[in-house]
Amino acid sequence: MFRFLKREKSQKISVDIVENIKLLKTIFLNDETIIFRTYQYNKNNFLLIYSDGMVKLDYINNILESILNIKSNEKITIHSLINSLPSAHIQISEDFDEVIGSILTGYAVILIDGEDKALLIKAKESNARNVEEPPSESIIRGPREGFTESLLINLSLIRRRIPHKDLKFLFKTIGRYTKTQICIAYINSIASEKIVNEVINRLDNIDIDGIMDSGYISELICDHPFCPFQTIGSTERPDVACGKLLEGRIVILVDGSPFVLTLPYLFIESFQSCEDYYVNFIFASFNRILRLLGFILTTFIPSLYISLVNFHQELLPTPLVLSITAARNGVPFPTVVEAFGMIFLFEILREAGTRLPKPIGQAVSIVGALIIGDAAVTARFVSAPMVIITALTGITEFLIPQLTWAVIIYRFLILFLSSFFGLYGMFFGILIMFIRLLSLKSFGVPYTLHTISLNPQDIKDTSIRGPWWAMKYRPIILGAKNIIRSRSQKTKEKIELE
Amino acid sequence: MKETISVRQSIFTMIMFIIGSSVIITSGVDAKGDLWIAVIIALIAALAITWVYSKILSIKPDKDFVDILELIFGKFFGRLLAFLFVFFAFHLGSLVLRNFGEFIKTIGLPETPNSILMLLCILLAILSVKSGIEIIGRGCELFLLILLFLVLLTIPFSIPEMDINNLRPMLYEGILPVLKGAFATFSFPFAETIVFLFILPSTNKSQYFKVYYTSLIFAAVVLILLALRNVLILGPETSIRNYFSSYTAVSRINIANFLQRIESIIAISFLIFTFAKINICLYASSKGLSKILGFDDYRFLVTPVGLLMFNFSIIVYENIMQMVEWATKIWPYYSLPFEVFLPLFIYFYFITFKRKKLSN
Amino acid sequence: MSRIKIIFILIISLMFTSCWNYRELDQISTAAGVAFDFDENKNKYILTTEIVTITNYGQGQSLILPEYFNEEGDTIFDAVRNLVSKTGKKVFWSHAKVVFINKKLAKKSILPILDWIERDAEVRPDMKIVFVNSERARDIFNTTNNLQKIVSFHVYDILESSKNISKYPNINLWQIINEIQSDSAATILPVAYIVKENGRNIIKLSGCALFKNEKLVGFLDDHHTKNLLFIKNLVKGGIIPIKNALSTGTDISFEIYSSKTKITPIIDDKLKFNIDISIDVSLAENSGEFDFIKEENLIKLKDFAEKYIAQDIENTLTKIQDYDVDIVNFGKLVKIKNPSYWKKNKDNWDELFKYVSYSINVKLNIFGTATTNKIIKVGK
Repeated sequence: MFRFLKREKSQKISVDIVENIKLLKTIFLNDETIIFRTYQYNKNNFLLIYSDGMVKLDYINNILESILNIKSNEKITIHSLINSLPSAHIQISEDFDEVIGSILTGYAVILIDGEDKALLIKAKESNARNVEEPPSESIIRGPREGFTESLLINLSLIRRRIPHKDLKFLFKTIGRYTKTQICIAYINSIASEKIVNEVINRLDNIDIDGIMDSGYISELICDHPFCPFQTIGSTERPDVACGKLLEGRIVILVDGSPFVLTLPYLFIESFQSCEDYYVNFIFASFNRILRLLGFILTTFIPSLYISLVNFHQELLPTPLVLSITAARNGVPFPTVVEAFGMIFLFEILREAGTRLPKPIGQAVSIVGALIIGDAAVTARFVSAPMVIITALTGITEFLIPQLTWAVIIYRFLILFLSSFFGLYGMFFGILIMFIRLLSLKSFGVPYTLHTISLNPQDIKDTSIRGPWWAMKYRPIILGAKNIIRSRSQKTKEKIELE
Repeated sequence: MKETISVRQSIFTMIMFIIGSSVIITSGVDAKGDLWIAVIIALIAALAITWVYSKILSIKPDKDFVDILELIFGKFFGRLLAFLFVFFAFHLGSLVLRNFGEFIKTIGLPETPNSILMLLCILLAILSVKSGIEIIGRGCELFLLILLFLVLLTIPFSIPEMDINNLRPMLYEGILPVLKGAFATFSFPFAETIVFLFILPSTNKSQYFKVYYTSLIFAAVVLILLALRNVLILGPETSIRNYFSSYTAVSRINIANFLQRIESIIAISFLIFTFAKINICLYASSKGLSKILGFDDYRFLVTPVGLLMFNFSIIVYENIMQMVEWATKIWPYYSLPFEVFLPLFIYFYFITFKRKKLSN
Repeated sequence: MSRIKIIFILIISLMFTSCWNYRELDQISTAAGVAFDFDENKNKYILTTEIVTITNYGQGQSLILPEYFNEEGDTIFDAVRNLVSKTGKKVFWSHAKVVFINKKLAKKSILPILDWIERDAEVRPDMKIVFVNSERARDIFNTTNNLQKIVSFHVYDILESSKNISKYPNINLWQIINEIQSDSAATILPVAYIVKENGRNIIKLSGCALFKNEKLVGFLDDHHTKNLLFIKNLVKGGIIPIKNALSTGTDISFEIYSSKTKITPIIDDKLKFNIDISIDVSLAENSGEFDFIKEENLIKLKDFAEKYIAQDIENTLTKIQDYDVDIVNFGKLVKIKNPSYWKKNKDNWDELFKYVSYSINVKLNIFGTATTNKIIKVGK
């Protein structure tokens, strides 16, 4: 089951057990967690090796017990052992490297004198975290389960939701040192083969020493590593992952990471929350629109303010001009400097707040609110409208946590341009953003697919969330094999594939 | 892999192109209050000539325009002719770029040198043209409806400022000024779609005439609505006196002292419409040039062609007065050979001399 | 990498340019209004601008007060720009609401002002122009009131309230430009009077000034102005008072809710205009012994009032004809109705206009009597 990174020559297990022991001892020199036990039983020499702490000792004891119970005077062979061991997960290997790998990942390995094969018995101690509610994506209504660090538990969470034969799990091991197991999950009858092959291809090309989190994989296989828009999604929720699977997407699970990757990832998914699908569709659509609005506001508000206040004062109503002028009286910095400073400060506060433990985090927000919000205005360091703008920018940023990174970059770019050319500069910035967005691809799928289309079947799950009976088809590029999602009387109309 | 755009996208792109700078710069001012009649006449003429355009492309639907010219006229003359069209696209692009610069300088940023704005615009155009025709197509698909919504939204808002008497009496000065206006509107913007000979072969279905007539009619409806709005608000005299009459017209909207000063909508939509037009011209000229020079990929030509376009647009006029003079007086005649005579010549040369030969 | 270098160079080169159009709000002085006078001796335009100043005091409180600067120049724009030498900051015109002009300037020509406002991108063409009936237009700034300290804004408010009184016109500058450009080339401006009251000067708007070919030719009082606005279909509200209605000794007031005017030219050998005015009113006042709310009295009153108003409007038209200004733009109507006739008679329209006749039909729709349905009876 393990396919290690290809090495030029793989060593075979020797027939002589002493030689094997010698070799293993040199390999595991100075590693005292590796336990070697040699047994002599019915003139059979066999060796049991396992890594202490990685295995469950009950299993080991069970195995030993059953070996010792074999009542036979004949020479024990590998095949006779298999039949008598009370473990479901046994396999035979001839490859020395595989044996070493197995020992290190929680297998008990039995070598028998006179056989050039080893028996690998899974005896993994699963000391994984319990399935808990994921803290990163908290919702009010919906399942409370979240992925854990254990790959197998995660797989079971998915399998339990989609008990269908077409759900396929494909395993790979990546990482020269960490030998991390990753799993590609997809539904055979929905997902596009082209994308699946592309994913496998890209994963095969990874050559790295270790994978600590799915973030590594995400960055290694994404299409545009320099682009702040993420083209691979991640989620901590099994229900989300299953939803994506049913749309024809592919899910990559990484052992040791509660975040699974979903791909291809489209721009519009940043605005979708799993809760949208569980609550009333009108309310969900309202929330969607709020999030879209949040994206627009948080990206453009500071530059819009700069453009209006410093370039196009004629566009503001007269009373507003007067009140902004009154607020700006005596403020020493130009508005642009104010804007850059305040937004930067907000990002500092945000970053400081996230990393700190909760009680200290509150102190940070007090400092932010009091010092920046109040004292600075009273002391006329910044003008009050700028504080309002910053607050609005900051709050709306939290509506779209998936896009934070992109939003910050483009906000500064657009702010920069608008501080030279006003509204025109702002729209230049917006054009840059859109050219970029439109040219992005995620595994061959245009990133803005369905976002810009006005086709009613496309729009149903973009800026609004259509009712379930209206979402009849899957996204065409993703699930072309099996396009019909829900059947009602009307679904019988012909489906036009472009 | 050949880049393709859908029929829908090419229609949208062409509508963007036609409406392009006409959102702001009204052509055919000779017709005064009867501009909308002039637009209808121009539309009919344009439908006729674009039928010829699409026939030319239909000679070999899977081939590019330059290839078709080579097939008909041989390598040398075909490429020579193609070069003329490339130059037309290039020239048009730089004129539009200059319009863009002058507009922003006059309306919004009088102290900013317009060369900087134009440079910024052309750099952006280079960026997007390099991303490919698919991006332009999708961008047009995205922006067109939003912008049209915004632009047409100004019409109901401006109803209180409208005076039906501005339109009357119809044809007061006779039909001649209307025909003059129709001629101007025909050459700018309708027949400028000759540039699409370089772009339409990228469409995934070869329904060229469908693209042409759908977008011409759609764009003409928009232009008629805009012309009516401008005349109804401004009156015939003011609407021909202003450089940017749409902008002036919308600046008069004032609903209950609340909804006012919304002319920046027009400015922004102009910015994006014009940007699309520049993109198309830049794409057409660099694509055509790369074909003429025998390269497979046009992308490495985009930057030099774009920067040349920028330079050309700076030296082409000295000031805005010259620009308007050129656009209204000289352009219709200058563009006539490219828009009418050459395509007609190509098509008739083909059906008289080459049709049998090629069908074998 | 080279792309990053190029971007870097671009950013740096942008940084080194001055911020061309960038201006801080507190670095500009916002003009609220401007008064233009013409000095014949020096042949110069004198401009007085009202600038809004904001003084902060205390916590978040600010006081908005006007400040005035005079400046003169050979041309309008020269005078406007010369202001900088006094204000220090460049004057920002986009929020200016009103232009005041005096008699001398109005008699000379209002075109320079119209041109400045229309041509300059900063000045907005929805400003108002007000004729000041005083020696100098800038005297208007010597008035005081506590409702709105900024005089221009105050006048703007008065103008906007025209819809409740209809005794002075409220038209935007661009409408004036349109009217001057049209074939009849005539327009009206509201007139501001400076009135002494309780020992202080206050502003009162009343009536209109008539302009023909950009020059002042005469005035109409507030009564005639209202009738003119009826003909021009600009009345949105106001009161029609009738004293001693039907000789009963009772005074009547109608409140106007809406009014619609339709003018149709009849071109025979003699020009005639049918003017149909339909006014929706309510009986807002019945101050006297006689009860007009009664059905039969109301019908009588209606007939009387219709004739009364028609007669009144005809008087106004005669007055306008005396001035020989086609302020209603009858010419345009003739042009629409019969373009060939207009082409023939365009040049002697002034002559023709003097002798046109009118037939005025007023239709009064009395739809209510405010909140009471009986008059106050004095109990004896």
